[in-house]
Amino acid sequence: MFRFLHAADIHLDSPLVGLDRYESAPVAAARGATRRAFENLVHLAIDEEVAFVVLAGDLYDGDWKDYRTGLFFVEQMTKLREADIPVFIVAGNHDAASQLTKNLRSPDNVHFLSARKPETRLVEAFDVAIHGQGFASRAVTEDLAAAYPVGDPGLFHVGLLHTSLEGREAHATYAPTSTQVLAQKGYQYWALGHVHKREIVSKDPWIVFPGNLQGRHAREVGPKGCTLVTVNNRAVAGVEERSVDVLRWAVCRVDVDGAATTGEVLDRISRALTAEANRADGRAVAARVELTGSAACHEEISANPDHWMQEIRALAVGVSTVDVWIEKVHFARDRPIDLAVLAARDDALGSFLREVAAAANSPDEIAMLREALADVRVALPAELLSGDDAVDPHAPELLTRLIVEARDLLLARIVREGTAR
Amino acid sequence: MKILELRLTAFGPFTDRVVNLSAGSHGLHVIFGPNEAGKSSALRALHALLYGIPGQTSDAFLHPYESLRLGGHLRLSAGDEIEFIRRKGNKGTLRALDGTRLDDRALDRFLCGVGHDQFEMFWGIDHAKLVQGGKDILEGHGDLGESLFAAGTGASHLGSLRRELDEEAETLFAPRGQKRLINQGIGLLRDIKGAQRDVLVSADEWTRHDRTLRELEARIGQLTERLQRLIREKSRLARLKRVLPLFAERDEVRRRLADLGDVVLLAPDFSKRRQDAETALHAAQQNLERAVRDLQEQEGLVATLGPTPTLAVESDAVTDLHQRLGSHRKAFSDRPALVGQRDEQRTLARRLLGELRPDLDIAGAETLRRYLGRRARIQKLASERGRLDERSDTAVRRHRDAQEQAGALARELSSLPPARGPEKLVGAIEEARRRGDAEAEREKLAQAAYRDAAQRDAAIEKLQIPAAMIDKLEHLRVPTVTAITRFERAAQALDEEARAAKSEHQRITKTMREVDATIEALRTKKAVPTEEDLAAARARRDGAFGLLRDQWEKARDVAAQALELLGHGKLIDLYPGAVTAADGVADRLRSEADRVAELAQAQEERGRLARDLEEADAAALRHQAAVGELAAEWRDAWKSVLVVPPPIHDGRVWCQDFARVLERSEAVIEARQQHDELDRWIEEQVKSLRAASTSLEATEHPAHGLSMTVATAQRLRQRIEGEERVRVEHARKTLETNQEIHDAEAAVRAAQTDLEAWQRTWHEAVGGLLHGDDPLPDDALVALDGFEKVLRAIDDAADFEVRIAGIDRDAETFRADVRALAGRLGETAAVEGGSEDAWVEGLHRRLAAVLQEDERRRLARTRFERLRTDVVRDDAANEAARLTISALREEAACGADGDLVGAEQRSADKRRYQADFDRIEKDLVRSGDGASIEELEGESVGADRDAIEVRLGANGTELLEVDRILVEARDARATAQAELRRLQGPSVASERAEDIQATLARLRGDVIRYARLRVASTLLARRIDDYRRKNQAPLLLRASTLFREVTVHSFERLEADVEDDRPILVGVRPNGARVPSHGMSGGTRDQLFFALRLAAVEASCTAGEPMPFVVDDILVQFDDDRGAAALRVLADVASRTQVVLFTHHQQVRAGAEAVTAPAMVIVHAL
Repeated sequence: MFRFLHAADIHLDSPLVGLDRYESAPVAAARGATRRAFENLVHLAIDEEVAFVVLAGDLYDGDWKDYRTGLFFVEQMTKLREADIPVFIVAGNHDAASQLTKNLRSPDNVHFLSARKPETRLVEAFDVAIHGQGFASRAVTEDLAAAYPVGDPGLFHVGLLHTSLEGREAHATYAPTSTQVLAQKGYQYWALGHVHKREIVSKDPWIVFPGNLQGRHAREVGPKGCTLVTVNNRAVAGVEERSVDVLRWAVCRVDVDGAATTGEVLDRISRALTAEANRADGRAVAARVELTGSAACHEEISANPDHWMQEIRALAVGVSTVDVWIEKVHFARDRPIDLAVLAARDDALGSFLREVAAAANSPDEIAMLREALADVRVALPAELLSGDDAVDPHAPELLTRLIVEARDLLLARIVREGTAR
Repeated sequence: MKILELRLTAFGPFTDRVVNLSAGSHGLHVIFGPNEAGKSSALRALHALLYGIPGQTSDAFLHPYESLRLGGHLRLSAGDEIEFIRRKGNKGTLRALDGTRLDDRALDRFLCGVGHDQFEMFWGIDHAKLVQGGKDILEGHGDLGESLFAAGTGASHLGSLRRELDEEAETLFAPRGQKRLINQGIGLLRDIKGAQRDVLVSADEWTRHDRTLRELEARIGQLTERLQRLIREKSRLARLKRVLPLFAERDEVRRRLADLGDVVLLAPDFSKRRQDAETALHAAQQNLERAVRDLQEQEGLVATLGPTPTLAVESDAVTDLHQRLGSHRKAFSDRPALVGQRDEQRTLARRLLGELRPDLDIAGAETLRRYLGRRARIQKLASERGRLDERSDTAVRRHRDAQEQAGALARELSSLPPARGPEKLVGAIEEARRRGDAEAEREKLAQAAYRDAAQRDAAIEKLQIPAAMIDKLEHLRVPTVTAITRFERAAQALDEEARAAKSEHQRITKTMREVDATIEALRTKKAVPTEEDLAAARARRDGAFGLLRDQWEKARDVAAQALELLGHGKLIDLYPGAVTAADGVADRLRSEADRVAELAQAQEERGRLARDLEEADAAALRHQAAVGELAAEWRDAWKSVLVVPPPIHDGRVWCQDFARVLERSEAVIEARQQHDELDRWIEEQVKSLRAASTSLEATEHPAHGLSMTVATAQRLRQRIEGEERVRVEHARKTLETNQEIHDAEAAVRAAQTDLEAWQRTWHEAVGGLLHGDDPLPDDALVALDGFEKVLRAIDDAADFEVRIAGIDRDAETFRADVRALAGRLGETAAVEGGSEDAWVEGLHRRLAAVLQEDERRRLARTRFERLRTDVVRDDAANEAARLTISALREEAACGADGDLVGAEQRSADKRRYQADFDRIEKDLVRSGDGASIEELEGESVGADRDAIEVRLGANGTELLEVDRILVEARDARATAQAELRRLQGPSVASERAEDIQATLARLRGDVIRYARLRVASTLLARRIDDYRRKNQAPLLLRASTLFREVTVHSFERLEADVEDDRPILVGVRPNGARVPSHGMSGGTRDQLFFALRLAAVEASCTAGEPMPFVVDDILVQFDDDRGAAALRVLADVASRTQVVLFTHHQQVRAGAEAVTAPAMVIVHAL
């Protein structure tokens, strides 16, 4: 009986995205997160006395040039060497482009499998054969697995591959292959990489994506880490997910329907955040708060969403003993009064609402708003104008959203000024 | 929507208060409540009725939170109405009048989508909003768009809202700014990126440092080895240099030791001991000689000094007198002053006494001392007198107040209404409530009766009983259960018979078919020969034979007969065939006898079956007849009830249904009776309640039912009980007041008694204090102070007297002591004639000389004794020293004292050489770098002492050089290591990358915030402008009219004008003068806003369902004319929608009552 660790997509020293360092933000919790997660992986390997470690690609970010990152990797590998644990690695798409991979001198327990053709390494003490082929260039579009040798029945076989399989959502197609191709090789375990979400694709043979080691933005939620595999009699006897992440991403949905006061809204958020923090096993949590439903105090919140954002951030400081970082707050759009009924009235407020609603479809109004936002757009750096989290103020979908938010803001502030309560 | 009624069931100060707002088509309802009457509560109640009672309310001071209740009655223009109750709570706060829960959204239809905020903002105006509206117009410089939009939405601060949005946006970004958040963020991002490039560590950089380090390590290794070699050599040379002289020295010492030969080794302290002994002997001899000499001298001196003189013996007495002499003299000099002070005090005492009690002399003054003893008591009495006076005053005042209170209560009693006994009313109410909600009960009974009747009728119809019989149901002769059972059994028996017959018929026909089939089968398989067949075959044989015989015997032509009988052929040929055939049949009959028998049996069976079938058919006919008879009997049993009776098997069910119909019919009758009975009872209760009420007060009763009458009676009861409570309270107060008068009188009396007692005690205390009557408290206290001073002066004079007498006594004693001493010394004559002082002085001086002489004598004797002791001691010491020297001689094995020094010298030499030898060997070991002496001797053999120095010099030079190079190499290595360590640390570049992401995240948020504010500001400006363009004409037109009215024609109309390229609002005077908003007075601006608001409200009434317009005391700042005009204008608005005006002010109420057309004005007083 022996065990080994399977991890992938480590992306050492790549930063976490989307965390504004507001005043009470637990900044230290996010510092060097990928490094600390990697250290956790190494400790786990040593504590579990694993026979070997396989890393299925993307140790680094492709365009990352700082050699210190590579040195850190070597330092960690040296710890495994001291514990007599060999490491088998295939280069992923990111590693293929990385300067670091080419220049680094690794200790002798670290084996980078060839990128030119499939290579097989034996771990003789455990009758294990490890097969793999790394990426020679950034984009590999042929089925690398097809050329892997067929496994000899007297050994336990691990196939190491960086691949998108038949295609995975939000992941580029690399080294595509199919479960049939993999199954035909007669290996007991396929250690895959590239897809950042944990997935057990098949149990016979085992085909596993362990997910990335540390979530790096709000789309990579939940526990992250590696897979601990137990082998007995040349068969997989157990596959466990082990979390090594140091900061956990979460989307915290809070139903504020029927909440009478802002106090109650904050109370519900607090409870939800506490629950989320409790799930994180003592890790820091980066939470995106999404409010749904219609609260009676909707206008009070709409009148100054920034203020309530600060309130929620302040609230997060005390919800748990673990650090909670509020990444973003999506405020609810539902309101207790029916805007359609209000808009149907033929009076000032009704026509105000109708015209604001029509503005999103009026080229004149859009042109006017674009002009109002032209100054700031010119000043913005390119990173903010493209990509997943772009905030290009001229982008139609953002403008539409801004019109709705501006309407709520105006309505709430007009009402606030117009009522004495 | 119109509010028809607002019921303040339990809210604020109200209990069961109803405000009827139904009058008028819409109506201007003025709700007047002076301060404290609950006007504000009523206004809050109106909002709470429509939108719920807020969680925190100031209206729960009388009724607790959970009991707050409001009721309302609303009507839409289309005529729909709703009556409901509003409770406090978060959910389920709406109830129907009967208490059943209404849906939370039951009012939505009536509120027409107007939320609470909007209702308050648009459909309401109060003084603060009016003033704010006027101020907004001023601050916006009369901006037409803002003014119209503000009036149109009811919003205020529009101008400042736009500014607020723009200012908020500007804190985030300015195109040419640097300190705004977004500008800062962009700058920061640029800086971090630059910093990141600087801290990136390239692979080349690392490799270069790594290689350098490795080279340095190798070089340091070589240098270190060389250095160690040199150091070893240097060490060897230095060692040789150290040990060679030591070996030479050792050899020399070894030789000298041999020269000394055998020597007694003396103890190291021997020499010292010898010297000490010699010195001690010498000193002892000298001391002894000196001591003997001194003793002899001292002996002579003592002999020359005489005995002690007498004066020295009296030394203490003389010293004592001399010391007392000083105080003796001082007392005498003080005496005259003391005499003066004594006299002064006596004079003072006499003077003070003369002022207070001229009748007394100093001796007589002693009688006053007793008053001083009473001083505390007198003071206490004096202050007690003050308290007694105050208590007396208080009692008198209290008595007077109580009497006044009694008068007031008597007057109040006369103003109370006469007592009315509500017992009858209470009885009537309780009786009316005894049956709970009787009207609901009555309604329930009516509904039950109706429901039962309807169900009964439906059931009758289902039973097909003719309508005409409905009233005679109980008389119908419906077949009894027994009869029905009999019919059922008969029918069942017939059914069973029919079933049996049918089954028998089927069995017979089936068996017949089977028998037929058997017969057919027997026949068709192979025709079974029968007896007839045999007879026929034989007949043919016999015929043929007859023919043959005829042919043969009679030669008759038998051809035709033969043809007929046997067919074609020759008869002779055919005959054997016929014989054979007949024999064949006979054989078959014999051989197939079983089949023949079977066929016969079958045929017999069939015959029997045919008979059975006939029998069965006959039975069927009989059965049919029996069925017909039973049916006729059944119909006969039903003929009085139904023309067409139900089938027999349904008869029982019909009868059961009919029984239920009968039961229900009885229930209907009973419910009707109960209903009628309850109705009568309710009527009686109403009458009884009204009679009871009317007997108490002329009460107008609405033509409502029992519950309303009970409620009215209950209110009357509460009022009467309230009055009764007031009366009881009044009686309690009167009783209390009478008790107070009584108590106050007692207090006055007590005060008087206490005062008299005090007078007696006072007299006891101060009687005779002053000449004449008892003094007043204050006088007595003053006199006491005076007496105290007199007595103190007398006491002081006495003290002085005592001191003078003391002085005189001491002087006499002194003189007697002097004379006694003079007697003892034999100098009596010297003190005669008062010269004691001088004698004592002289004697004291003499004594000093005598004492000095005596001291010398004592010292000489003491010294003599000490010298004698010294002589004895020194003699002993001399002897001891001699013994010691003798012992030393023995120790050193010397014959004479003179040999001691030589022995000491030899011993010391040997000891020194031995020590030198040891030291040299130690030095060798120490200098040998750990090698043994033998090894060192080996190493030194043949060493060239002169060459060592040269070699050491060369070695030192090389060593310094190698060391210098090594230090340099190590420095270089340290630098390289530090550089590598720096490169190996935490990735600064990755921290910068994190900083970049954090900055981008911050920027994303800020950009969205900025864009939202800019979009809001732009949209608001645009909407205000749009609203102005679309509504300017109609709104201005209507607002002009209203403004003219409200300003009592001080302005003719409102117009749009342009100022700084921007449309503004101006008022036009009747003379054509144009007044911009800032040219108007504050009040006029408020009225301008008022006119605009009313115009917008009117427009909204036309555009959709009108809502009630709630006005809260806005007319306070209007002058009388404009106030009246504003009320007229509001009355005008009331022709379009309900206007509810709340006011505290009597003049507003009066003004409203004075308004005539066009709409109805109704004043409600709270």
